[in-house]
Formats: sequence, structure tokens, C-alpha cells
Amino acid sequence: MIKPRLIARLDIKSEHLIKGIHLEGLKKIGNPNEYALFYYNKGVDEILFMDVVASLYSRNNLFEVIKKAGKDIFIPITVGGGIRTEADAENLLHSGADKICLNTAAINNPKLITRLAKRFGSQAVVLSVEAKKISSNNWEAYTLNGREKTNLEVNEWIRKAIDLGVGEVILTSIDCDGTGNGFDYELAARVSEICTIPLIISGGLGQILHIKKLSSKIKIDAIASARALHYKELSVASIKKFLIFNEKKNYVN
Amino acid sequence: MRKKITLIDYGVGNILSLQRALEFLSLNVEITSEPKKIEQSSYLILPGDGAFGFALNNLKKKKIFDLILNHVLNSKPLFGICIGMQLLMSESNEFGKFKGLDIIKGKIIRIKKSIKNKVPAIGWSEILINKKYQSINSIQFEKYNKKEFYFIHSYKAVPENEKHIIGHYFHGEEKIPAIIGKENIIGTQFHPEKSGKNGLDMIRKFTKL
Repeated sequence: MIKPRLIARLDIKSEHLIKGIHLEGLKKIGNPNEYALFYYNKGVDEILFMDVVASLYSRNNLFEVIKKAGKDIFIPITVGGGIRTEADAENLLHSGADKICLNTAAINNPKLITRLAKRFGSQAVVLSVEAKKISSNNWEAYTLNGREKTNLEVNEWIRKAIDLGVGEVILTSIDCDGTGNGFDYELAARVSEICTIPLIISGGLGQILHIKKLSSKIKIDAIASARALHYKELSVASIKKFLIFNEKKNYVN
Repeated sequence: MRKKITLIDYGVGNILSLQRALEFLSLNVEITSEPKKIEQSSYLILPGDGAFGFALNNLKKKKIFDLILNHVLNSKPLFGICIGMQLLMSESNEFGKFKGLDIIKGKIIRIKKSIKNKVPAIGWSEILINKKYQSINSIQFEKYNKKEFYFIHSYKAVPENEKHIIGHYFHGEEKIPAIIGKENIIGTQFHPEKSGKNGLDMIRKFTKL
């Protein structure tokens, strides 16, 4: 049985590991490679590197980080931030990334999803959705780390992206990101209903209780954690234990 | 001299990760698509990601297809990973009908999809080693029983002969072969190079065949 995954999310700016709140107010934390190796040794299931400024300034600092990570980390590595063309994706996949993650470029040019899926397989193409609550029961997808509106309703966009060929979705709640106050459970439940491919819930994890609450709303495929791991509020082992414990309970019910 | 492991580069899959894993194990890696080098190799690894037909066409275009069959006829060890494992089978229906290497009889079919058991199947699962499988020389697969490996796929291999299924996992109710093999040939549906210490251990075992 495939277990719910814990993904360590490492947001990167100019080769520093950083973390913000609501995807803003970025604070330097340390060396991303050291953190990634630490999480690998602790048994995390996957690593996600996000270059948070690449989309804004048209640059990509991730290559060195990924090349280094590939030398001693033998779990899947996903990379996002600033991928605009097939060549960008190819360069990252040839530098050691297993999957690439798209947001801004996918929204501006949805055909890119299909081109990448055909060339590298759907399993290598992850859609990153940055969702902001607009009104009750209405979430909109944003680009450029929560700065730019798109007028796309979240579920509508995800359905379309699945048809275009993405293999996985990472859903980040801008409202909950970096707060440690819990996930956006309503958003997770809403997207989970229509998402026929693996869904990664990101943004808000601060306590073990939040996993319990999330697993009462949806069948969890994966969660991503940044702040809780980086600030050592929670350990990899404790999160994984709870993910699996709640999963088993759901199966018995 | 260190043993040389030949990694087939046919334009499919994350070769770099495999190369890194082999280097991490202090093995001598040769990455090539040159027919001559493949012909002279002692240990062959056939990697792969993406679609069966695309991978198959590349093998044929680069004139590697027959060389793999010869390698096997000469009883030399072969390790197929993910699509590389699926290529060992007789045929696939992924986006058209394709004939594989036919080293292990059987076919490739799509995994059943449901909202509880999503496809592509992505993630870590324990595998269960079957009681009766055709042994692969010195490798004791029992030690991998209930160990976790990383899967990412939408199609599965269905060998005709149960003995060729060394281990499996469950995706919901569906039984999916995780390791197949016979003689000197191993295929894994999971990615050993992405499965942490257990995966690295299995690669090491292969290079000792």
C-alpha cells in the first residue's frame, strides 16, 4: 500500500534556504543542501526545492543546489521556480531533478504542460497551485509567489491542467503558508474531490493535530512541510508516524 | 580493477541519479549508447521513465535492442528499472501496441484508477516477497520483505509465470509486481536509486552477481 508522503519543502533565494509567511517576508535560514541531507537521513520521503524569486527576476540559481543534492540524497527530488521553456525543464532534469514543478509558466502558456508531459512523461510534471481564498467557498490561483491574480478558480484550473497532462498537484494555501496555524482544510477538501491524480497539501502545518484534522477531511496522498521542519517544531519521524497512523485508522473505518 | 557497470543512455529517464547512486557505491560506471561498448559490457542496467513506445523506439533507433537480447543469451547480468523493467516483457498497450524484448513472458497493462487509488501511483510502499520465485543466484530477496521502495508509474507488468514475480505491492486492492526476474535478470518497478538505503543495497547486490 502506498503510504502518505512527507515532503520537505525548501524555498530558496540566491542559494539560501529561506522561509516567509504567506509566501512573503522572506527570512534566511541556512544552507539548503545541509538541510536537505539532514531530512534525507531522518527518513523524509521526498525533497522539494522551490526557487522563490526565479519567476520575478528571470534567473535560476537552483542548478548548483540540485547538482550537489544529487550526490548524497537518494530519494525523489522535485524542483520548481522559473521554469518557462522545455529547455529549462530539460536542464533541471539533467541536473538531477526527478520532477519539475510549474505555476506561472503553466498559467501563461498551458500548452507547455502537454509538451513537457509528452516529452518527459506525466510523472515528471507537477502543477504548483498557489491558492488564495477570495470569498466563502471560492479560491483563486495566484502566480509569482502569491503576488499576481489570475482570475482562475482553483478547481477549474486543476481540472484543465490534469487534462493537459500534469501527473501531480502541489496545492499551497497562501493564507496558511508559514503560519503554523493549520492547513486550509476546506480548500484541501474541495480540491481533493476533483483531483484524480496525487495531491500534495502545503501550507500551515505547525502541530501533529493538524495532520489528524486533515486526515479526517481527505485521504492524504502527501503533505509538504517547510517551517515546521526548518524550525524543528516537528520532527520527520513524528509527522510520518502520524500520517501513517491516521491512514490506517481510515482504512479500518 | 573495479568492476565496470554499463548504464544504457538511450535518451529516457533520469540517468544522472543512477550514475550518482553507482558512484556512491564506489562502482565504476560507464554511461553509453555505443553498441560496441554495450556488446562488451559485463553488467548492464536499462533505466527508463515515461512512455513504453517512446523508450522502445529509442532502443531500436540506437540499435541497442538486439544487443540486450545477446547480452541475456550470454547469461550476463541485466537490471531493468521502471520502464526498463517493463521493456523486458513481451508486449504493452500503452498508447498503441508494442512488442517488448520478450525476455520475460507477459504483458504491460494500465493500473485501475479510482479516487482512493490514484494513477499515476506515486509514493513509497512496502513490498512483499513471494514464497516461490525463481532464484537469482546469490541474491536473498527475503531481506527486502516489508521494506519500503519508491514507485512512480501508471502501468504494471503481468508476467505469465508466477515464478517470475519475486515481490509485489498492493495499490488499493490491486496486486502489482514490484520485482520480477529469472536467471541473471532483475527488473524493478520501483526506482532503487530513489529508494534510499534499501534501494542502494539492491543495486549493490546486483553488481555482485
